[in-house]
Amino acid sequence: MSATNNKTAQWRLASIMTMAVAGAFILFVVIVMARAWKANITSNPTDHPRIEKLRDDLAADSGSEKIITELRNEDLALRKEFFRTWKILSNGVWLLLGGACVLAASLTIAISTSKKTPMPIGKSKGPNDMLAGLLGRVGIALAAIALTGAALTIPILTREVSTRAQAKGIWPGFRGGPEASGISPYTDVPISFDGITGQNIAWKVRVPLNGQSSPAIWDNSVFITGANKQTRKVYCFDALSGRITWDKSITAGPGSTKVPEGVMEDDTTYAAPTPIIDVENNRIFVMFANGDVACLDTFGKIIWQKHLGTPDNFYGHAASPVLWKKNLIIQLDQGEPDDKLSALIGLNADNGEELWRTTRPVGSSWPTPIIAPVESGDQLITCANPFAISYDPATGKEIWRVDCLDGDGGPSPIYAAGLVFAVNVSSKIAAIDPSGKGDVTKTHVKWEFDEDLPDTCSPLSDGKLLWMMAEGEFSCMDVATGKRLWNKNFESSFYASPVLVGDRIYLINRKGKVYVISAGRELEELGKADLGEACDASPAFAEGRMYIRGKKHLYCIEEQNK
Amino acid sequence: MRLITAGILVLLATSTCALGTEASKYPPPDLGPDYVQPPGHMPEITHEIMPIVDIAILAVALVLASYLALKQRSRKGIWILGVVSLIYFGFYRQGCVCPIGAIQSIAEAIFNPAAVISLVVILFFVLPLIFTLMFGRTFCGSVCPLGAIQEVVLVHPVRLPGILRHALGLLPCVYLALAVLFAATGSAYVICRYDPFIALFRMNGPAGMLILGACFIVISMFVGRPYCRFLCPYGLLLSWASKLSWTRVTITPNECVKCRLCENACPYDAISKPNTKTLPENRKRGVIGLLGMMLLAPLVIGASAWIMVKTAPTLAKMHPTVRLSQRVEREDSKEVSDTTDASQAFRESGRPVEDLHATAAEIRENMTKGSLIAGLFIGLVIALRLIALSTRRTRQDYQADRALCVACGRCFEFCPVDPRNKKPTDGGLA
Amino acid sequence: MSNAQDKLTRRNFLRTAARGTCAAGLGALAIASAGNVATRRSVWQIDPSKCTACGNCATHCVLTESAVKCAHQYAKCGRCNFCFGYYKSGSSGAKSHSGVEFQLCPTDALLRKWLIEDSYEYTIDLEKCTGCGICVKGCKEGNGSLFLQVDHDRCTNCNECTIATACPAQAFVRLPAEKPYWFDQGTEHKS
Repeated sequence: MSATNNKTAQWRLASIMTMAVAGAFILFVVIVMARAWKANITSNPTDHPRIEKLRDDLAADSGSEKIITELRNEDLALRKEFFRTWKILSNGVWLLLGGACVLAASLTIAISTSKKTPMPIGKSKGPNDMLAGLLGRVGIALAAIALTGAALTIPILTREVSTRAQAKGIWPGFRGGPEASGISPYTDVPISFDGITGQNIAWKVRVPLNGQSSPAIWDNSVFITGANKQTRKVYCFDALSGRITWDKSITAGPGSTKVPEGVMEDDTTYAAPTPIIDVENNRIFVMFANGDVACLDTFGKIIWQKHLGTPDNFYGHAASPVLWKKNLIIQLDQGEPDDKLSALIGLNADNGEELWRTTRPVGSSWPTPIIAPVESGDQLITCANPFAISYDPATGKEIWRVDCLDGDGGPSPIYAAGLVFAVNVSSKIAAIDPSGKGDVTKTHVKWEFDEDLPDTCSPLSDGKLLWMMAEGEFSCMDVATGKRLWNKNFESSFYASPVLVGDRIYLINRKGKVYVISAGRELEELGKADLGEACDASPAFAEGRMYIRGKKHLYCIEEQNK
Repeated sequence: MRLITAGILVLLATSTCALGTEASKYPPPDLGPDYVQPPGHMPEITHEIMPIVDIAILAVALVLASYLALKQRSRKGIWILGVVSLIYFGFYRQGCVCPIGAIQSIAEAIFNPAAVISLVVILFFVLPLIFTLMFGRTFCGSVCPLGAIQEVVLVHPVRLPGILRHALGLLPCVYLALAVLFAATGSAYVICRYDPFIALFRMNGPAGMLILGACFIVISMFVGRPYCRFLCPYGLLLSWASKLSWTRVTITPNECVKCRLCENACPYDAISKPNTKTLPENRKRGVIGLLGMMLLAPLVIGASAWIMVKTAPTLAKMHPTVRLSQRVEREDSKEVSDTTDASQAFRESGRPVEDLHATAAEIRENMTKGSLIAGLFIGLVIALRLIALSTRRTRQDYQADRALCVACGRCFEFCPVDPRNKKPTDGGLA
Repeated sequence: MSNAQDKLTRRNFLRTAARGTCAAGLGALAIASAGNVATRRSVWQIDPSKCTACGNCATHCVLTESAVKCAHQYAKCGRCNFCFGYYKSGSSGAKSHSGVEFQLCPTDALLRKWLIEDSYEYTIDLEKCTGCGICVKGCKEGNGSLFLQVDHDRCTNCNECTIATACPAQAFVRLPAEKPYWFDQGTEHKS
């Protein structure tokens, strides 16, 4: 008997040892696998931040062999890591299974060697069926109550909480919409911010495709476009997180794939026109340098799209579409003035059908037309070489024209204090009374001024003063007289148009340096900020927020220490 | 007929046209006559023979299990067969298809005319039931991989108090009702989705399911077969079949000598003690109790049905279409500001919103109808249990409970009357 | 088995009757569900017209390496030089086109081979493909010749496909085993 006992004890000891070893082994494998899992086999190695950074470097320093080699090595390393992780996981599973089998076997031996036949304890009283039945019924009753409780609370727990839009504010299009005045109704915007340190930056996200277009804002949605030679995309960012809610590529027709010639890829870009939002009908309109126009709903579904023919524009088409009631108006100026290619096109916003088309006696141009709410009725004001022309936005019929522009024009006109201001770098700025008809060059120009004229930036006015940004030279004038009050040289180049936020003016130069000055008769510098990235697009505004599109990223600027 | 054919032809023609224009977006170049297109990758369905092998193995295992439990009375044999089943059906075939999950496929096939079901699934569902009607729950004892894994890890059984056993015992009936309800409405296969052991069989799965599986394994070390007893919906069906079975496992092959040795042998509380000594009890109280339960029955059934119908709108959310419809509604009413992958996919598809809402409404209506039936069913089961617990039956000797016994054979080796237990075990009666 | 149990008592008679009813009921159930039995069996497959290439196929399959792989319908492919499924969008600005730094596929599973002039043949290395659908999403902007399909030599044909439960577009359907792919064999070899 003792010999058997001894042997049993030995078996027990051995099995317990095996159990311990198997347990430790399983633990080890689990840890290795968990670590590999953390690296996440399904993550995309080509989206790794290191790769992303190298890609940015490469784009900045196009074609640098050193960066390419570094990038390829990094990429290879990441891919190797990816497949190694995969292997660890698939092999680990089998090791785990083996370990579990050994554990189970040793456990069984340990139990079987320690088993004793149960001895009946105490006197048999026999079962109390009455009590057992009662307890059983109580148990069922309790379970029924618990289940009822669960059935009643689950609907409450699964009720969906309303996450009402937290970001508020509408900025329908270029410089704030059809009037394009560049005046923000939202004034609670920080003066200082820094894109590098992240000061007052709510978020910063990369816009996958390049573009010069500005953001258009509608509460929680930030719409922006981007394109290259082949692809044209509309992006919708979530204003709260900066995450891309959706993106949609636009290829409106067979002609869309033809790459327009002469587009300055890094300057004008293939996506210069800013989208415009139709708030009443829940839709947005976008346009690209290849002549594609599209209407999308706010969920990214294309309602209609149309290819207007590849524009013959020697820097690339840049004018944003304008919405007036049910008319989507596109100033499609092309070629030279004598070519007779330029036209103003009115499309039906519901389906993209052409309602009217007015041929224009001008050459290629880049300013976005504006809607001027003149007393006698809304007018559409266009600028190009050589005319500033006003049209009836309903029919496209010309109302008046002024021969005051020359050369390649970038700045859009503005309408302030009952006057239209048209400007161009190589001619002058003209204050035009829009009440005339026909050629009013001689009769309706209130005043002219021809020093330090803007090349790209549109002018800005609060109704009393007028500001304009030439190549770094910023001047302030009196609207009524056209007299210059002051001017200051910022000694850098500007593309983004100045904007008026309350009593402050924001100026963003091409390097991303931001100057904030007071909008007064005297020059007063209020502060400086830095985007930390090149910037050519005009900013957009919403409640407490400013959105700026840099060369690569979209920034949401908001006071962070509220 | 001719009209229909013409219609189909027109349809075909337009669809080919559509394909044609789509393909010409970036037309392929002329690659010349020598160009050979690489073959498309379309691997054949492999392992197609496997389901048939599965059925054969299932049938053989059922026969073997019944033979080992009823004729051979070999605990060791039953245990080995269980481990083999665990390895084959569990780890090799990764636990799919199994009879438990087949409940849902059957339910869907009956209620949804568009659903397809394979013969294998039907056989997987029916075969164990037929064997149980004949020989008791031998399937649970040594064929089911879920049962086997719990059987193997049971180290130190702890008795649960009767009140808890009966309370938890209601869960399989609720689980069954919900599983059939969700499958019949095309919402989800909850049994498959929340199978605690499948993640272990596959050695892979979402972290939550792996943790759930590990928890069940740990509980199974101390509580005998927690899944079988307190969750398994198929086990409930089998326990009913077992009650009606032609023959079944007995503790002793001969006359019971009431030696009490098997009293604590069953970790599943399936051994009923003889009650001749304690009978008769207070008969009047018993009758009043029974009458009370019978009067309570309609009330229980009604309440259960009412609660289920009230819960139906919540249950309908299990259906992806209902969820999507609600989501789209909230997005359209600007109640939420972001979108989900599903709502985005829906917007892309161009399907009209009204169509989606109509489909969802139909599913909700089906869910309400189904919930009523499920509620009646759950109520009926509760009522019958309450009545059964109020009745007494005379037991002369130690018996294996017809419904609860899973034919694991643990009690065999404790019976001194069994001629196979020749030598007394260590520390036994000797 | 004690003889007492085999006696034809009232209870035993009721049991036998119930057992018979049960067996009959089971038969009826089997026949009812057998009304729509698949001739061979049914398999899971992705409807490419619904698929949004969200990436769940790579992460939600019960297999570590998903049963879903990218499939290429060569007849539809434009053999583009700038393939939307091959290159990251936005990478056209750089000088070099062929570098790995502009590739879309995270595992280098989409291969390209020069054919003539500006045309390339794109093939898939199934060993490397994870079924993430990144290239499929890209190709949607082109001819849409790349799409995700369940490989039936890998799929374990679960009762409830876990990818199907995670599919935002409800694109997973059961197809009869006779025609388990959305590829059209006819167009595949015609052109």
